[in-house]
Amino acid sequence: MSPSNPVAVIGGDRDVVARCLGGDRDAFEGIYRQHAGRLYNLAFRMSGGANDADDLLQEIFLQAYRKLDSYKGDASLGTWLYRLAVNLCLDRLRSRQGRMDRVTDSIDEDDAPEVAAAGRPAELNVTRLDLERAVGELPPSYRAAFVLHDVEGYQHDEIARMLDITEGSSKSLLHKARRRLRALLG
Amino acid sequence: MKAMSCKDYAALLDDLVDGTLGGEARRRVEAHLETCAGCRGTTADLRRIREAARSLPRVDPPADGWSRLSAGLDRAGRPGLVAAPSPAREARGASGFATWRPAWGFLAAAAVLAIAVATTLLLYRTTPAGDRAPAAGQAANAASADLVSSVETELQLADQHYQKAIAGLEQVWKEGQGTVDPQTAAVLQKNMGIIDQAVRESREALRAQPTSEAAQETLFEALRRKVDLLKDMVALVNEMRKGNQAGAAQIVSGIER
Repeated sequence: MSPSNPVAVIGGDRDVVARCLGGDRDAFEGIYRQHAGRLYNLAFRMSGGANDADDLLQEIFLQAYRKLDSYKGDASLGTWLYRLAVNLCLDRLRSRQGRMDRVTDSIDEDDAPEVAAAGRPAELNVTRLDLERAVGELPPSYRAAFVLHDVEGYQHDEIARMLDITEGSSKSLLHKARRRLRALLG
Repeated sequence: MKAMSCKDYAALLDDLVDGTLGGEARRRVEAHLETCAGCRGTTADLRRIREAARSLPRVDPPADGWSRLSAGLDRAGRPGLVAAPSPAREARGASGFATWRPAWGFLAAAAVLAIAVATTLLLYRTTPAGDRAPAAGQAANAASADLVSSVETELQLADQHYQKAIAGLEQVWKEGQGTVDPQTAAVLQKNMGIIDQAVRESREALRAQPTSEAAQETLFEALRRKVDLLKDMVALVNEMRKGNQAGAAQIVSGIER
């Protein structure tokens, strides 16, 4: 199941972008109003808090504004914006954590140890707050895969395109993210 | 066939939870789960994590999001032109949720740019018009200057590299602009005016916050755009001198895009 993307009327998107490039501020406000909600949720889940998400949302749209002339209409404007946002969030996370490695670098990290069945509750009790806190402890690439797949509902082929990795790498990142979360929540 | 271990089944458990495992593989995993309490527990936990993730509430963007952004856009000039740092990043500074790009990055980029511009001008000088850009040669020489440790000095050096490169290109344009039709020249000058405005505003922002990485980045982005446009203008002069109308039209079309 993919998330309900805005209808990809690429011709319409091109027109809106052309208006923006011509200096039509109302057109850009329209883009903001249409996409801010979805991008804010991504930023919120990736950064783990409202303050950082607020900043990220501003940065996403400022960067989009700066780069509007590079929108070629190959994909819908929503897809173009989302991809820009995902990568900006990842850059900021890595910068904050002092990690400048590539997404795929983390794939070779060891799996989190499996939680032993004995000594922990028979059923994992996952509250919203615990999950949010645990997601905040994931390495950036694990977090991106988990947020995009399990929270936002994207498929691995879509995530692979967004992060410029292979579908197999996306699956591997999600697998490790879930095992790490299980260990953190157990 | 070798019997599969729990480790072999581990990756398949994700596919099972996601509902993407079918056919024989699914039957084998389900058969394994009937006999393996560990993998059964893992599967149950994965389902709970997945369900909890899907149940996370949606959050609304800040109500003043657009007004804040709009204020930032006022300083950003026209779309596609970078002129001002994000207010959010300015407020949080380089130690916040921002990327720190060391000042020497700008210096290195400026040095590379100076060499590239010098090469452009060298190629230009191979045309019959002769030697036209002594400043660019100086820029290339300056590029080999030793790096210094002071961030402020490095920024000044990077700025100087850009200025020298720009001076060289402007000199060539000044000498050759007569070959370009007045209407095209006027459009190019107008575009240059917009970029110059962005450069001025960026300098003001940097003066107000000399240590702001965003302000530094913004200034050098504007300078890069200026150099790019000037390089196109010089290329246009070159094509006009050669009488290559098609090549000139292609360059003008590229600039317009």
